[in-house]
Amino acid sequence: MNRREFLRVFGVGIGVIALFDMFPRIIRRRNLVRPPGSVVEEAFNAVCIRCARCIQVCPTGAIVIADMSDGFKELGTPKIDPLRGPCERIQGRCDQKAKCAEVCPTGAIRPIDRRAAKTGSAIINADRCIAWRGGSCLVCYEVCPVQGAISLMDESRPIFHADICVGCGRCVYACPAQPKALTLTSEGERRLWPD
Amino acid sequence: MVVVKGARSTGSQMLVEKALELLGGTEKLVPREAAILVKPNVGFYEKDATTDPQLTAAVVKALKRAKPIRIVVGESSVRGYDTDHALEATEMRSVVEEAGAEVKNLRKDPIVRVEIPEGRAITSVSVFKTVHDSSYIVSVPRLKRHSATVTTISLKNMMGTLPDNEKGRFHQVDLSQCIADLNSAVRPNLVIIDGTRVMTKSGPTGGVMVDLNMVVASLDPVAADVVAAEELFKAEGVADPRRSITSIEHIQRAAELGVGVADRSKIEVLEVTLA
Repeated sequence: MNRREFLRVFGVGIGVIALFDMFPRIIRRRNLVRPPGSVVEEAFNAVCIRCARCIQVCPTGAIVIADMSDGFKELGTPKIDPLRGPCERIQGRCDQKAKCAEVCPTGAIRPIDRRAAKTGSAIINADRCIAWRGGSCLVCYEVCPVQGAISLMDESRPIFHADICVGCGRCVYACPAQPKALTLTSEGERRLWPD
Repeated sequence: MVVVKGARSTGSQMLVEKALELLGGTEKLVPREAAILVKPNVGFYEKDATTDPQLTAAVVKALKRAKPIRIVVGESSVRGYDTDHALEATEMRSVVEEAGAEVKNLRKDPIVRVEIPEGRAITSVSVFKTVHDSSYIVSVPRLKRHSATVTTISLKNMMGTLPDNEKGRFHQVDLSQCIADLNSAVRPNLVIIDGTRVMTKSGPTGGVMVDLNMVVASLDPVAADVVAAEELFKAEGVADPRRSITSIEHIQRAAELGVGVADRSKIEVLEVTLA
């Protein structure tokens, strides 16, 4: 192989990697939801060493490993999947101390005060919601641990307030609609700065 | 149907003992060699939203006198809440184990299919094996308001016998009718309603707690729910408590299926106040 051919193959290789990196984010169109107390995303992928201790220690199983569809830079890092379980930093087994922050060896996830923790916000697709379609369901409202994050219209249909929601994902987990009427996004998340 | 009221100092043990005595005593109520399931409400992590553990322990102690082959206190919490943590955080596990009964996280149980011959929304339902294998079921709910069903008392409490996907199905199909159908096949034999502290205005969490120092006990879960709901509404200052109960769908549908009596004029209540 001569130099030109080598450079061409190298260039194509770089292009493919860049595509693998960009493409998932293009089709995903959403940022990952990170554990509570995570550092800003620019630093997260660099600081996290993909040791998976946070995944092992999470009592609800909410933290899972990001895969290729989440992005090449994100591969192997932790993200929250509310379909596996809610995050209990606000209410439950981590309300004194976040277990993920406690075990993170590099500070990609840091201790954050319970009152400041916000991993994102839940959003509703009313076309899929049993209540908005006229049925009897208020499970999201019943399980929400934060007063005011969900309010009721006519005592029967849930309205979501992203400014109050802490992003625990309990509503998403519990939503009985098939397909789910709720999604957890990173909207409004609170991130910390690395040193 | 008995309603026993006391002061805060009366304590749940005395209220429960008096209520069961007035119903005839557990030795008469419970068949011999029963496999008893006591089903308290431990749906959440908060003590306000769940049945008082001391009251549950008092029920266990009274049931032991009937010499059952076993007593299991079992629950499967609201979806999104971990049952083991709920049993620990509310102290239900520690208090009941000290009273000498087995505490079971039903969510870990195998699942059994039960037919509902009279069911209108569903004709069969999945329940946990312990529930199916129990010959005598005691529903011990906390008296609370509920956003979707108006109140959650002994009938709604039975949803804790269902695996998660079955609970979800109830909401997809018709929650009130499914609760009624469930109770027609998995019917509580005895109901002891924790009205010591009740959740008013809203529920099943976050409502205003009021000390009523009351226990409602009955062999009829529908009638018990009707009488207990009336007490709840009276405590809230609702204008016409009895009329409000006719709007509680799952209670009315359960009556239509013959689970019990919802017509207040046909329900005889013996009310006793302990000094």
